[in-house]
Amino acid sequence: MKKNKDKSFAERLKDILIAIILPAIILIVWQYASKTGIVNPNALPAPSDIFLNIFTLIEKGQLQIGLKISFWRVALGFSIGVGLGVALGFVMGLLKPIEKLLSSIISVLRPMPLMALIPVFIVTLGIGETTNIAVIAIGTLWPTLLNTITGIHSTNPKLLELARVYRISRIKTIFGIVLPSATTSIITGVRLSAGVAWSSVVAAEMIGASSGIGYMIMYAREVARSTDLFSCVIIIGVIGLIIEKLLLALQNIFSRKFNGVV
Amino acid sequence: MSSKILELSNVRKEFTVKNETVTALDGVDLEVNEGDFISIVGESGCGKSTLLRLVMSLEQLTSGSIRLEGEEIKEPSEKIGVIFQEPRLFPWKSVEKNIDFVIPKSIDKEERKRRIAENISLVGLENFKKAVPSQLSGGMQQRVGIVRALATKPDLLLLDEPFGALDAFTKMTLQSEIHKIWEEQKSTMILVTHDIDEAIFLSTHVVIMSPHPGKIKEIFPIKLKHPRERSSYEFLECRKHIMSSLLDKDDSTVEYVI
Repeated sequence: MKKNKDKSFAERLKDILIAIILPAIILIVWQYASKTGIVNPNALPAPSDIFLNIFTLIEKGQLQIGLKISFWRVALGFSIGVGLGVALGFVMGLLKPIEKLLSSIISVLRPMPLMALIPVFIVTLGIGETTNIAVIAIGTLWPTLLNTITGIHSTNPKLLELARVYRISRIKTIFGIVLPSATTSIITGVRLSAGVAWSSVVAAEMIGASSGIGYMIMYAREVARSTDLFSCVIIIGVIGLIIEKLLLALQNIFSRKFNGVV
Repeated sequence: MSSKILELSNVRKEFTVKNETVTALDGVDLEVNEGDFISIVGESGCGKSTLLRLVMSLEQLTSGSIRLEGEEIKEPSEKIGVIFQEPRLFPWKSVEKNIDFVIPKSIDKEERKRRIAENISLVGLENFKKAVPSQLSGGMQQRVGIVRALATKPDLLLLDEPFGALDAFTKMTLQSEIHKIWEEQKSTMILVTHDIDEAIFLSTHVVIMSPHPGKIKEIFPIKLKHPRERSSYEFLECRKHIMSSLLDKDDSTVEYVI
């Protein structure tokens, strides 16, 4: 396949057109169906109405308030989860006995659906910020933890042998060889965690909060304002996409630096 | 009279593979004097790489002893430098930083800088000191691998098939560079190789090993003057002798085998 930069303008335009043709058809059919009453506009508002409503929400400042609270929760929960994941991943990746000790607990806890844990947290921690943040922290912990361990285990044994031959200290080996070797994998974990953080904040807010973008969805459903509902869902999708793309770019930068033939 | 650097006596190494004991080396005696260039040749499985790994202390002896400057070695020594088959450079570190990483921390900043600069210019990579390994050719990467070992100022340099993965021309250039370094720095080197020409071109002695279990069959001194001409009669005579010794034939029949 040709790389993007090798393509002519006409070729690139063609690629773009092919990519948008199906979404365009869906939008047109949707718009038509909703506006002509083939489907109930209260159940499925027209794309144009949703689009305009997003601007209204921004104008009224409701969206910013909701997003600000959600972002704050994500930032806190994500930092705790990722921080814990990297730290624990390092300890487990470097110390075999600790890994053995914890692996059984982790293999039981990890497959538990986050949604199932939310009511548990509400019972034990009560409704409030602690629960919201705990949900995000637990959700973001796993991808970072597992990828950190994998990254550490994937350190090239030939480089470790070199370190032994040249009597490099354990600390210098960890920071100079193991950490850089694990970086790409850790970044992959962080990227996956960020995706989880964004979806888990919405889940937590839908069940146990009275603010944030997730709560806005629940509220819109309760008062039967489907335009608001759809607006919020689309905003969540777009923000999720932006987070994913940003972190993918970050991951590419790191993998270019740290991967190579030894 | 040159002094003894390395002394292997009655070295035996066994490996356990699926509950079976395999003897990789048995009754190996070898003395290496200061300034020697020893090449170890032999077919795959003769234990030549194992021998080198024992000297590096990456493997432990089953019995016998290895003495470095009179002292038994049990763990990797500061006096030993190693060049591996692969350059084993850190992909995320520049040429300079790759070299700096292995210099012992007891060496002060000025001396480190001097050693790095000196060694980089030794192999003509001044313009690449800030480059990362992926920006260098295979030959250049191995040059960095070589001078990284030199930067630790070892008394004994071990080379584990360092040119095995390189193309023929790069290989010859690097062989000449190693020879130059050996001559100028009066260092002591042990090279493991399966390239007989390489062994003759560089060595003061060629150690010929036989497998199952790995033993030293013959130590063959090379007395040719440098620079050695690979197609000279004397060179080919040495080659013939080593080949016949390796293949366990007498000199008269070896032509048919080659």
